[in-house]
Amino acid sequence: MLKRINIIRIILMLIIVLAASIFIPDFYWKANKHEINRTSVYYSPIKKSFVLLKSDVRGVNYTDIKGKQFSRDEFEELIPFVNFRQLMLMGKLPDTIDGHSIVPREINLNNVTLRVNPIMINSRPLQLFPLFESASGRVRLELSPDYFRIGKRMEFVTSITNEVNEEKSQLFTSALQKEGFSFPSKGIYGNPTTKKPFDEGYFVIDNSNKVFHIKMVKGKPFCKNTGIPSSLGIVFISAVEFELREFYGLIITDKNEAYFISYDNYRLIQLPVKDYDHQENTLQVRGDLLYRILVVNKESGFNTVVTDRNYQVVDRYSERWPGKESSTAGIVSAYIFPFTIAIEKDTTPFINFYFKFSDLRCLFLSVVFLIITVFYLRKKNVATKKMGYFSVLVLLTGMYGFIAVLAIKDFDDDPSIPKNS
Amino acid sequence: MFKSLVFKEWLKIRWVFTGLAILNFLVVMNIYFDLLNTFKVYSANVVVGQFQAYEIVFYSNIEYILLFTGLILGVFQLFPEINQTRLKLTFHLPVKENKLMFQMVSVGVLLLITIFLFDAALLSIICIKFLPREFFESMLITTLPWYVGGICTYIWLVTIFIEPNWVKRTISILVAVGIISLFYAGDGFGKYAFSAWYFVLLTGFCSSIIFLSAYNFKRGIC
Repeated sequence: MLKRINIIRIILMLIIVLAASIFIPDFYWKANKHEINRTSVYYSPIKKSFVLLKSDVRGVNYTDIKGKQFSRDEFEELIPFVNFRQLMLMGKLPDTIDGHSIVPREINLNNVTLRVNPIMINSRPLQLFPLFESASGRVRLELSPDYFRIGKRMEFVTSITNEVNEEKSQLFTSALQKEGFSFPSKGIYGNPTTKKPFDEGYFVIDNSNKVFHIKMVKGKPFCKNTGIPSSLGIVFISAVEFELREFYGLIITDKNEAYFISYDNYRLIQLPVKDYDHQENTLQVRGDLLYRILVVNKESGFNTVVTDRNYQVVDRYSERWPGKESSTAGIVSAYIFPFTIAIEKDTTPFINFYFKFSDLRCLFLSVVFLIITVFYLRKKNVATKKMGYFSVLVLLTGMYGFIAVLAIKDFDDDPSIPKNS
Repeated sequence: MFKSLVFKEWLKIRWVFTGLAILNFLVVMNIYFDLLNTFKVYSANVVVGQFQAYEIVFYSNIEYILLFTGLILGVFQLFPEINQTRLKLTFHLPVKENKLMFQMVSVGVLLLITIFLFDAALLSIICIKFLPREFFESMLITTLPWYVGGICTYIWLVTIFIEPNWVKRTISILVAVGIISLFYAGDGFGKYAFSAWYFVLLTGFCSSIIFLSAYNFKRGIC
């Protein structure tokens, strides 16, 4: 049996392993910062193909997918919907494209962008939201004097008194109950800002996974069961108001599907997204007068699909580049670190201990450290029994365990254990 | 024996404890007045909206004061013990060094918890007075690692002070700085919502190392 003091030594060694596995890889990657490849992909309605804007620390490169280079002016002319203001200034905005007359106001109306990343999906904002008056008759939206929550009922808390507005709470709770809402809510999604052209309120998932549309119209509740299937497995809804009024927002499901919620009685439009992992990738949806472009951005590449306005696939393109694991620093790290622990991660806002295990390559160095450890401990006349514990630690944790063994020097001060026995 | 030890520790740190309690109180009052003034300058719904949307941690001033409190209490409790070699005399008492250390550290930790509970209670009253309960619930989980981090700082300080070997002391300082920094990472509400209890556990493990330092101290292992 281990003596209590040796158990404490082992705890100290494990704490050293923990600290080393957090800070040494962190420092290593700080010293070997991976250059980030930034590529923006567009679909040119002029060329009828994808064009790319690649930027790094050296500058910007305008190209098509075959590698043909363009000047900035040429590139901007290829994507007139993105750069219509610049082209207007230069007098280069075409009058028609594919028979569609080009009117700046129409371009602006049809330009839409939605973006969903894992941080947005994994965030847990305070479940307290402002409900705007959707039909105030004013040009600008105004912040409401209260905030709502949906627990056992829908409750409005008046900010100035910090008390529940019973009358309003009762009114909205009754309206929701009438519509068949099952309390409490599982998710409330909206765009709680006054800096938008109009207000569409919130999409709320009730306790039985039905999706309700809630807003306030002339002080009265507007609560509607959207009829969106409860089996969809919604993990996130990006609800954004666009003047275009074609869709309320974008639904992301646990099966990595993406749907627009259309203004046509909440009809779902499935987007042809491919190779998308909502926990790892960023999904960008951009629209213009003629096309919709869906881009799945990953750490080591992207894939993109362009559709027409009826969501029929027109073209696809994907690109991959070496990730940080394929770089020299990445290959070396696979040999020297058996695992790393990070307390922060790009895909979640939460602090935790995020383990990342290396592959079998790390065994090479672990075995080398093990041999050095055995020689070192023998030189220190450490009891064979204890050597076993330390050797296992070094074999499993490699460099970190080796540091811990070096840090704990007084292995064998227990007179009851014979040395080298 | 325990009563005498508690009394001895209390005599040693009563003034620094009082000073730290006053400092914590003043910082919490500063938070209160800042919040009060914010509500005087901006309308309540704007304040609530901004706090919610931008995850403004209006009580963030307390964060490093908690760490500082743990640090200073540890220094004032242990420095005289080491500097005037009182600890050696204490360890000559007919009580096991582990028990003595446990009792000494318990006094420090209990006094820290007293100050921290006082902070938490005042902050809760302030939060509930001005803001909906969601902010209060989020404040509890946001501040938990800061309080535990203050206790962890105290524990590492005790470990470092009583460790007789300078090499081990240096290693302990490096590990302590790393471990304590983990408690103060991330800005915004409830960043430790899924890991706060791991950090409580980590503090529990770290506290056991005090006994190793005491063991080394008693045996003069250098």
